[in-house]
Amino acid sequence: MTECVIRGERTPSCARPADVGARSPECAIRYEGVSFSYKPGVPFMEGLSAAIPAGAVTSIVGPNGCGKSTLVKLAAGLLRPVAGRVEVAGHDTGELASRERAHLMAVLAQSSRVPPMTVEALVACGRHPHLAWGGRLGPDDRAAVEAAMERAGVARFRSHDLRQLSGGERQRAHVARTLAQDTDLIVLDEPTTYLDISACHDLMALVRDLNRREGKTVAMVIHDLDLALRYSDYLVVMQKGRVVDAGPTDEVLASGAVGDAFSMDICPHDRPRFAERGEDFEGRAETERGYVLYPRRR
Amino acid sequence: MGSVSRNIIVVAATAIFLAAATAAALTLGASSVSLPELAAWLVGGDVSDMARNILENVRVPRVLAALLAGAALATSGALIQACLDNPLASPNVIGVNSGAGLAVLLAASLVPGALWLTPLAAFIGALATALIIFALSLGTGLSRLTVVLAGIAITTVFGAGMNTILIVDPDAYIGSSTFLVGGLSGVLMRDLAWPAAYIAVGLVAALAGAAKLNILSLGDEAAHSLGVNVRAVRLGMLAVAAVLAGAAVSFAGLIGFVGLVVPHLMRFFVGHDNRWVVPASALAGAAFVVGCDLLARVLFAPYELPVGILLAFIGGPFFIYLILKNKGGGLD
Repeated sequence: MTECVIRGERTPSCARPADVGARSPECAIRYEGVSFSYKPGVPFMEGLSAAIPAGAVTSIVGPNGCGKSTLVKLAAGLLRPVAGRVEVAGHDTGELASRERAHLMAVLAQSSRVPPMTVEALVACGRHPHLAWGGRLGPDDRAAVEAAMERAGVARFRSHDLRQLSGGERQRAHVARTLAQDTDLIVLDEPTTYLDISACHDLMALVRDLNRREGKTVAMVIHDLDLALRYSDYLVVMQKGRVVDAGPTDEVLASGAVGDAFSMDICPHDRPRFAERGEDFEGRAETERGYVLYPRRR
Repeated sequence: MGSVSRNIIVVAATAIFLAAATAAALTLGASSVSLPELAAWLVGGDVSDMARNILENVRVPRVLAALLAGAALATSGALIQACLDNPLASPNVIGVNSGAGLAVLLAASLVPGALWLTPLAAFIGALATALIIFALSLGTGLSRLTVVLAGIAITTVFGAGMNTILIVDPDAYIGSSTFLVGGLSGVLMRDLAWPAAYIAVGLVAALAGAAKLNILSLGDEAAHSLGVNVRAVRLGMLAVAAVLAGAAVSFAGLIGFVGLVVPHLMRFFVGHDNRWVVPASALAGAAFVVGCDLLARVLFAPYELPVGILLAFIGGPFFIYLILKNKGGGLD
């Protein structure tokens, strides 16, 4: 078992130039010199550059109000930068029609609202970008809805009203809706907010599995550092509207930027991974790592 | 039973109820017309002159007016509730009917006798009010209850405007007292031609946009991420709601609560899928107003209540029920 406090030097730079500059399909989302403000004359982000790599799970972390959800909204076209460029799959997101964008990325927005519909009806909403004006599902759409419900493990709740489900089941239904949208990129904005710890890990395991088996690119804004560190390939660390570090999770953790952003000491904790009967590790490490966090004395 | 089968049965049952209410409304009244006479008139057979006269000049225009007003107001209510995500909203509660009413009286006073202008003015008045409420609910982040209170304030101001017009120009609108509470007595076929066209277009547009309203119920951000132009859909469907409410007000006056009561009732039976709520509300709204208008005619015969008064007796308590039902959450 590893018991050490990592407290490295803060990395003041933005995302690494190698990542930011990459104009290749490996960039699922790319922010280039993005400036944004919520109030005229009061800049919130200035010249921000960052990249979300394709084919990986990336977490955007940082204290409240640092701009994590703003990054998501900029990519989703809900907010427009005052300067710079945001690309999704190589396309300037501001120039995409909302329907075109919906073919490239699925977003699970943070919301406490529970729509009054069944699980199946919710998942069917994910097919909306693929439907004609009348909104009628064809055989292919029905198959996609069925597959998405099976994949997210909510097929047995198909006829349940969302209001009857637990928070974890409901969130899986929302993930199924994003799967039915059939995009390579899924963006989750604080997907674990209303979930208990067990449901959080179930959901993150599903996210990991979607990446591993189907090659989905997942970008998520997440508050829980332990979850972000355990389940992400890459981290983007934000503070006060700036990206203070970005890169592979281990490297960013070693740099100390995550701990500095939250004023926490982060202690990795390894334990052997015990294979269940019939399970193989599929290339995963034979130990699993969790993290214990201690507030720094002020 | 699957939800689709259940909903088909509900819609079919509502259609049968509408047919029964329509037959009853055409035959019952101060001078009754028998069912065989009605059937004979429908197929162009032999009918007494009196029965023909009653049907063609009194009952048919009135029942047609009730059908159109009910379908339009109930559908308008369903659209407004979905667009504003507010269970308490309806054309009369948020002031859309009053906006239409003020515009109708203003048009009648300024351009007397222009039948074509009445529904157009009503639409413009209804749309302007809907846009004010939309801007208030979006721009200021008002709670659902505050939107309703704003609607009450708008209704009060527009009510004062209508009363001012009727005092300054008492001949502007014949039957103004019935207009102010909502009633269908004295409606003629020629009054219905233009509004019927508006309502037909409005109902088709409401049905076409119902699927998009389902996506809006996921929340603005989710709807946007699914490729829906949230603001355009909301504005478009509010405009459709204004067309429907305005057209109904133009000949039926300020009939209230149909747009509040009926969509809630139909959601109880068909769920929240707007592709079912919209057609079911149109049918049930038509049946509801036809039935209420019949009751208003026969309850205190030989006296006749304007149907708006009877609807207010039903709708007022229902509105209080909704407030109590939603007090634990959802209003703020």
